[in-house]
Amino acid sequence: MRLSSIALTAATAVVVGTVPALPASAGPPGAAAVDVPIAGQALMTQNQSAGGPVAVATVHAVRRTTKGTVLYWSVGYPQSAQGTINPNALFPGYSGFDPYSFVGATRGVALVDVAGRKAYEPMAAADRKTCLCSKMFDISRTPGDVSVLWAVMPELPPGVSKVDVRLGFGAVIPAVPVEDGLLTPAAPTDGPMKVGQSWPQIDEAAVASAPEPTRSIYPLETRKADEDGTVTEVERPDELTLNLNTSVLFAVDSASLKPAATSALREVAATINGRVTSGGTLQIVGHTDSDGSNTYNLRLSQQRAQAVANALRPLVKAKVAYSVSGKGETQPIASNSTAAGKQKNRRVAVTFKPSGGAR
Amino acid sequence: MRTTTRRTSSRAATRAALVLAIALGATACTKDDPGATTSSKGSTTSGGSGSSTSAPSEDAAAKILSFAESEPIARTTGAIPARDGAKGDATAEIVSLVAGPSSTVLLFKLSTPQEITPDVAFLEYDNYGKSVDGISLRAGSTVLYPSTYRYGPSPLAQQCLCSQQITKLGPEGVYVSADFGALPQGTSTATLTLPGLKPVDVKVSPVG
Repeated sequence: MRLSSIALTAATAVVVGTVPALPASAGPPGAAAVDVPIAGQALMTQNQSAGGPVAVATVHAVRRTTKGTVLYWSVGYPQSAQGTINPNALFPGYSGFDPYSFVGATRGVALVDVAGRKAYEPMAAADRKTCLCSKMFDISRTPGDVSVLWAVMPELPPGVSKVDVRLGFGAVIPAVPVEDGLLTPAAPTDGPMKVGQSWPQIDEAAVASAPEPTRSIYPLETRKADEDGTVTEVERPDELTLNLNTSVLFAVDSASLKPAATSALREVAATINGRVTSGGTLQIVGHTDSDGSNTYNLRLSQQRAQAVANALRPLVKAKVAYSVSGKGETQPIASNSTAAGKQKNRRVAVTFKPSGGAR
Repeated sequence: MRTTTRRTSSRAATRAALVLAIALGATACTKDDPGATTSSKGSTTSGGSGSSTSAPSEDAAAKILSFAESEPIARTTGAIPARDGAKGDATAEIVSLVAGPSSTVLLFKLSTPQEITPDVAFLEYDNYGKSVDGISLRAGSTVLYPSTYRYGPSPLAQQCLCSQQITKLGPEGVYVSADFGALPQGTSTATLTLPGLKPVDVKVSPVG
């Protein structure tokens, strides 16, 4: 093998903005090439601490393979990076809450399908102790190097054509195309692999034998509210919860609906009616803040939930099964140590689950 | 940190499907060099066709590392809570607000004139693991909050789809991202509210 020079040429370039197209050149006969696609980039700050070294994260591709989805990405520190370079500090620490928070892994990496309301994290290998993903020591500490990384997530649903890619402490690269087939050429890797040489070799047999891939899929919640915060929507993969602000619905210590509640309940019914296809269940649960006794709060929450259910029955057109209960102060969604938190906790939650779980 | 250095590239630009091809010139293995092998370090590879992809990759690396975020499209100021209970002046420079059919991604740089340790609850959760709805986007009568996902049964095993665990702020700033649900169709401007900072109107860009 003879090494003497390297030329940079453009193979297929779709360029927008200020990135100039690289001049194409034919290159010498027989020259091989490694395409380095760039789907998006972001900066990652060590420990999210201003003044520390900043790395450049690049998402190269998201590719479907048999039984999995491969994220190809890279990390490198510019020559100008200052301070102590420590790639481990680009990733969140080990989390005991996360069953698949693997020691030494590049944590915090996920593919997010917002439309399908699911986040996909790297799968566990057959040993259940390591992940199908790069380790932090796969990242070079040398400024100027760019180290190629990989992670294999569970299969994405067939209709998903783009995902948001989340990296490390929360850098998000939006709308990365999901394509078919692995990047080539590929080579085994054990330690830093420089970009432009080859792509990490994905062990498809290991992917196919990954245990419990569904454990790496997490439900996503999207949240929105109306302008005055009367109704807050929390949408999950298989259900929609509408949290009604009880300050609008009820007077203090009362379970009788105020006239002003009418418009809020109509809004809720309209939302549910717009989602109903073949029926489902409507779970109505009352909640309070922590003021007052447990017994009192439990009874008040039950009475308020029943009042909301009674008002919704004539408004909801679909044939749904009602479930009405009160939880008192036992399930806060915000801190009860602030007035704003208490306000959020005083609510009636209306959760609609369509039949079969699909919306 | 040199994040304030601006280079020629932009976030929007690199979001495009830019493809670099590294032609290996004389770096390539030639037919008189059939013994090229695959290294576990990826320094040498050999394909069945006899072509090789072994080469230094400084040019590709330099191109990738030249990335810098775009100039801000909006700016707002205010004061944010520090962990010691005080408040520190802060500036948020909004880099982009990209809207797609199902999600909206915000990127801004948060900086303070002096070094401070922000309150952990500033953008994500309070000490009870409950969302504080620290960031919001308003478009018309709709207010969006960052999406979250739950990775375990514990109430604390909930993660905001936003930048987390900012440990120190200072003049160099830290980039913060947040992923929201979809804005109402046709939204061209949304009002961003960051806790402690003045609400600011931000132009919405369609996803590339």
